[in-house]
Amino acid sequence: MIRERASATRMALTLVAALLLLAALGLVFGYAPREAVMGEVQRVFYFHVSSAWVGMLSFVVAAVTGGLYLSRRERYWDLVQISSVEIGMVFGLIAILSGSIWARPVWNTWWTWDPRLVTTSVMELVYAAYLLLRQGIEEPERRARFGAVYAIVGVITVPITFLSIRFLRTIHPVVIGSGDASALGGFAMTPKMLETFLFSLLTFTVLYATLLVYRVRLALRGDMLEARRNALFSG
Amino acid sequence: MVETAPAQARPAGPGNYFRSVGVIVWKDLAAELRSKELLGAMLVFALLVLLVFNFALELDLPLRQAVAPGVLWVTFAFAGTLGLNRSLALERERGCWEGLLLAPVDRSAIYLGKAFGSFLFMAIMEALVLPIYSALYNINLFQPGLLLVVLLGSIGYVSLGTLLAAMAIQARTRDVLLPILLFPVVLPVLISAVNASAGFLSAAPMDQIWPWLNLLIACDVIFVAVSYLLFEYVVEE
Amino acid sequence: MTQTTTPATLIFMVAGYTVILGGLALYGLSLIARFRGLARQEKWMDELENEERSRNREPVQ
Repeated sequence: MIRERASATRMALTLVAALLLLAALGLVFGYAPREAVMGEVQRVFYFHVSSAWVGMLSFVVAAVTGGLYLSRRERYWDLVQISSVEIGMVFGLIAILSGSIWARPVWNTWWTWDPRLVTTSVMELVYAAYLLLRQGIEEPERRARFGAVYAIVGVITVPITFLSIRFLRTIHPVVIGSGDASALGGFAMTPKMLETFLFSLLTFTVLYATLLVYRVRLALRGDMLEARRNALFSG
Repeated sequence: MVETAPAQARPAGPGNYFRSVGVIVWKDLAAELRSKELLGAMLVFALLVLLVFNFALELDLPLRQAVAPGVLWVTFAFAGTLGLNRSLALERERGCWEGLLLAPVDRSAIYLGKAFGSFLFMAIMEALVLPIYSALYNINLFQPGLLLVVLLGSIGYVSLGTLLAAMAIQARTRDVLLPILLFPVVLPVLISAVNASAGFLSAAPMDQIWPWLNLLIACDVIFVAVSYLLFEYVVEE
Repeated sequence: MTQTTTPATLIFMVAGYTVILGGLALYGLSLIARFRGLARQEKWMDELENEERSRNREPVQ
């Protein structure tokens, strides 16, 4: 009975996420105005920033579950951590690629040294390093412990990296390529744009939660299967 | 070869704690002075990196002096990785690791001992690289400001590096893993160090350099604290 | 002064949304595929366990 209730909750969550996504798309293409200077490509901004937001949210969740694992040693937190990292990597990659596509027609370059874009890339590298760390360790307990430690280190250092790069950009305003630190936010946001943007953030947050729920479930079932396999072949 | 465990019958206390740290540092230092493996490798590697940069960049004199701080810190970052890795790996190879963990020493004392030991090795390597670098790039690198930055940058680097190296050597991919883990997270130290170094070398006014020094010091404090606290989770056996 | 959208930025917008929605879809599909694989393995595990159980019930000859 509990299993059925959980399954119903998951389906409800999926439905809500899908509806929100459709509504967000409607707002982006139907409600938000066309930006005067950049044209249609500015619409990428809404989902681009929302993806970056989810990437960062996943990062924080990974660190928090790391702390929870280290204090409680419950396997569940490790599973949530690896799920959050995986999802965060996907959204981070989407953010970087969509940012690059947005930059191309506007600043005539595929890459800008904007502090936010660079920091997102650094975060993505930390994610990748996390996965490589886990890959190199065989005992599940140690793998979980090390993952937790590195996630915590990451969540502390990446914001500091952002601040350093931001400070660097304020004293070196003229650079090859796109220019100053405020470049990627360089359009005036009207109220309709703001509403669309906030709604996109909400949509993507719900999307993240939905994907996380499913990914954790996948991990839990995988774990149970592994336990059954061990019981069967050791007896 | 298991070394005698320090202070088994004495009660715990601050004096005892620092004595343990000192023992660990001295043990590494003495072993290295005898074999000179670590320092030799770090020094040769640093010089090779310098040479590669020299030929890869092929710049005229003023440009070369402009990139000097960056090249210097890249050199230190790569050679430092070597030192961190070998320092912890040697322990495992010689079989001292278990002995160290069994000793009635606080795990955090092991961290401080190892970190300080790595810091000393890095400092010795830097002391040897700087004059050679000064000659090759025709700059006087022995200014107090620059030396201060080298010191502070090394502290930040080694503090995180020791924690991450302790994880990396327990993995199968130990040789390549440390740079992969360390470089993305040690960036704030590198950024501040390079900019502060550049400031000192170009004789910029102090109020331009202070923000970078402040950031560097803040990073050092945060990184040492975080690594100190997290180290025990990495060496549970 | 009104500005007209140049077609070039429209293409980029389409490209951007393809990447975003495509990326999300790909990940969603990968999850579905992994769930299916898991279900298959669970079914096989059920069969193996049933075999084991019936083997244990048979009297030793």
